Amino acid sequence: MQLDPRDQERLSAYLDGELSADEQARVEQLLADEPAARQLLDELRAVSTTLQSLPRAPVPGDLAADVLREIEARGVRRGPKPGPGGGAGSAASDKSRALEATIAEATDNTITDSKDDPSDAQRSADSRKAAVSTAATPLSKSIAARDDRDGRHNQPLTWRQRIVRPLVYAGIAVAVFAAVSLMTEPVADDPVHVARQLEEDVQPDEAGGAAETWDMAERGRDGAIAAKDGGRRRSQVRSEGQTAGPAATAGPSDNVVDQSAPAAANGMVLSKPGAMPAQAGAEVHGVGGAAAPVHAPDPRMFYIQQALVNQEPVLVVQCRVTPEAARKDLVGKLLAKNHVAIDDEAAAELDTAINSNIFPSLATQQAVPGAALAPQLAMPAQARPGVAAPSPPSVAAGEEPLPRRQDTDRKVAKQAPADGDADSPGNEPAELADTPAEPSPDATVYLVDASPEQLEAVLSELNSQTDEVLSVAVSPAPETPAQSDYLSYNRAGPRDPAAESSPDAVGQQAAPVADQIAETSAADAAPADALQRDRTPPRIAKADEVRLQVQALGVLEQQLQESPSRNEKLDRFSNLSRARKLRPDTLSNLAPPPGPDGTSYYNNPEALFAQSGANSANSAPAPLEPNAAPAEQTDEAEDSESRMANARKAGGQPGKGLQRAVIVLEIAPAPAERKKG
Amino acid sequence: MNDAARVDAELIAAALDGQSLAFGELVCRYQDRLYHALVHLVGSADDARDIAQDAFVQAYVKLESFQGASAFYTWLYRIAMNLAASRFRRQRRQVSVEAARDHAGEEPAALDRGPGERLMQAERVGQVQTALLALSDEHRHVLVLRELEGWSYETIADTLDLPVGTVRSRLHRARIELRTQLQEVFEEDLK
Repeated sequence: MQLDPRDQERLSAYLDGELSADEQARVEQLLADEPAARQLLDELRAVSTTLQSLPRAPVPGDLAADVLREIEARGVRRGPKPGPGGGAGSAASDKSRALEATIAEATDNTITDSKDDPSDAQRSADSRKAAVSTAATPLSKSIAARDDRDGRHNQPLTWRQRIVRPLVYAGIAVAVFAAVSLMTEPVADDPVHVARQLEEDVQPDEAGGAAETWDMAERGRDGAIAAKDGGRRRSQVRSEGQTAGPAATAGPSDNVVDQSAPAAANGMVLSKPGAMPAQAGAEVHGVGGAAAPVHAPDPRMFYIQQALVNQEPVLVVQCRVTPEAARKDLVGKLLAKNHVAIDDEAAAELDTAINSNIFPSLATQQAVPGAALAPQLAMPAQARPGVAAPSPPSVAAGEEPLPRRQDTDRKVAKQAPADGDADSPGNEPAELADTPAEPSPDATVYLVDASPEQLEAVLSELNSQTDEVLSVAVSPAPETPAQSDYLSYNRAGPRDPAAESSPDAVGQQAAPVADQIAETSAADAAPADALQRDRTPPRIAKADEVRLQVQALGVLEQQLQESPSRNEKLDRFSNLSRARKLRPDTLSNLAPPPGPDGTSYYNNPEALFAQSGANSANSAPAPLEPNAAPAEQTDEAEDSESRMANARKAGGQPGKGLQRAVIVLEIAPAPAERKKG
Repeated sequence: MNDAARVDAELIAAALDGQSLAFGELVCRYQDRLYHALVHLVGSADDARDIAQDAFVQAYVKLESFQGASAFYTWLYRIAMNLAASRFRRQRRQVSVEAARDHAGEEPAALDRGPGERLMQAERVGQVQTALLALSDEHRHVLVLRELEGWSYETIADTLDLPVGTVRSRLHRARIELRTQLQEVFEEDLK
């Protein structure tokens, strides 16, 4: 027999005990008479039981602490309303005592509620502990204020007060210092925070991802560290994006915009072998060709930095080459020939660190990051008609500009025609015509990501070019034993293993250097170089120094990422900025450049991701050689990409996947000079 | 006013007085409950946690507007529900058995069972989760509030701003729909 729909509903309500007495009597009669009603009731009960027995997973992480942090970051302040006359102190004191009792009671209740499940009780206790620890400072202040209001400061201090009060006063001092710092260092320009939030929160496959990202960035500007994830999602991103390498290549179109940000946010590998990253900063070339290189790095910079400074094992290759080889850009061509991805953006960072007196023993050397690689830059020279002389990057007063990028640009314009581009000379800007053919740097630094096969090919060729490459010294990363295979390419004789640093040596040395930078930053009044002179680290092998710089930056970056509070982040970023010879007041330089429509991505990240997403979909592989046919370029890029993909697949054990290598090219004096010497 | 409500009221008063610790305690009291409901409501552990966190923050921001006419948790849940609704207007849900299984976590009691039984249990939880998420929003809401939260029809009606009769009929239809989807599971149960 078919049950009446109203009776069916009543059965459901009967199950829930939500029927009136009359209805209940009617349902019971129905159940007695109708087997179908009994069966339906059984099924409804089974549904109910199944749902109620779904496992109750506890909230992951420390939600209470995250909530309190976000509340604090949002600047929501609540406080006792001013009481009438002097009675406020007493009332507040009573409230504090009442609160303690209430919390104790609430705690007891919580434990009682969860006593059936010991794990629940433990979780609750952990949560409370975290919440209490998070809120310890305000509570301490509250207690101190209450004591003061109650006039207890005239009484002898108890042992507890003796312990707590200095902590409270220290906390207040830190807060005042932070407030002063905030007044002098506008948080709105904290691009690290904004970029981190962009990196963590952007979900390109979600329609609302960009909007959320912007919300987060906005919160960051407003001084709110979004502690929303409590580090949970960050670690996820880090693990997913661990392989993020150099920026994806900007295609040869006239409008070059960041394409790597969404890819990085997806944890994609950004390296494209043989495809040069966009040159220093994010250049935005206008359609009309009136290109104005903008030297302000975009958020992509941070992804690159992340890849650079993740304390990845770094293979260091030192080559001593003849001036002729340097002029011919021998190494650059070798790298290009083997489709090795060159991270000149990161090399610029390294270059800056080298020249920032932080590492004194290398400070005397010059490095031109990526200069020799000009011909392979993503934007062919012929596509850059009317390139104006690059404007130097804006720097803070009192700081030296960073001429390397400018040099790089100039060399780009100069070298491109020499590589066979017959049409280019006519387009060469007049003001670049006088650029010396050779800036004659003493050293050039290449930062590359390469598969073991690529590295071996490059090293093999370097080794075989005995006329022009005078010596090759390979220094494997201590953390990657497999790289010791490359020692066979040493041409100046195998290095004494004893002279190599022990696996931990570099890491141990990197941390003090990072500390040193931090201390230097903290003692802002003292000139950095003065401190450095006093605390110069012991001299070590040059290859290790290069690695040390990378790792020291890594330590600083790590500290920055792990800083729990906004103020600490600012401090860390200040340290990092110092390491890169930037100052917080030049952070505006880091703002992404305006887009083609004139909108600054910094002010409108949605536009950035919308634009970059669109471009990513349509992006063409960058040319490997400026004169190669477009079809060949694509094939080559795809081919090298597939080879890199294979290399990545072969990865998994150290030294077998993509490897980060630094190639330091030292230029030997000309033969005459050597003879003289 | 029962003990829980009294404790809530005192904690809220203290939070309004600037005692963030008191609000932290409120979070501790309700975080697992809210998170559990949200996981089954939105089908994603990450989203549930984000929404729970946002809800608590919103609750703190708007704490002064809480009049105590309803229980704090009811008020908090309403905030969370609004946040979830606005979030999912922009985002399409992606549900899979695997995801549901991941999100559901492992049942504590399952630790006492053998691996085969635990696997079956996890699979069943995944099936239930999937079926729950396949319901319409309105059906899922009432089911979650009734079965997971144990709310009365009146409280559900108050929270969802619906007549009690509508809650009753909606709940029944939701159960029938879920039963249909889980027919295989229940056949085994009823054996």
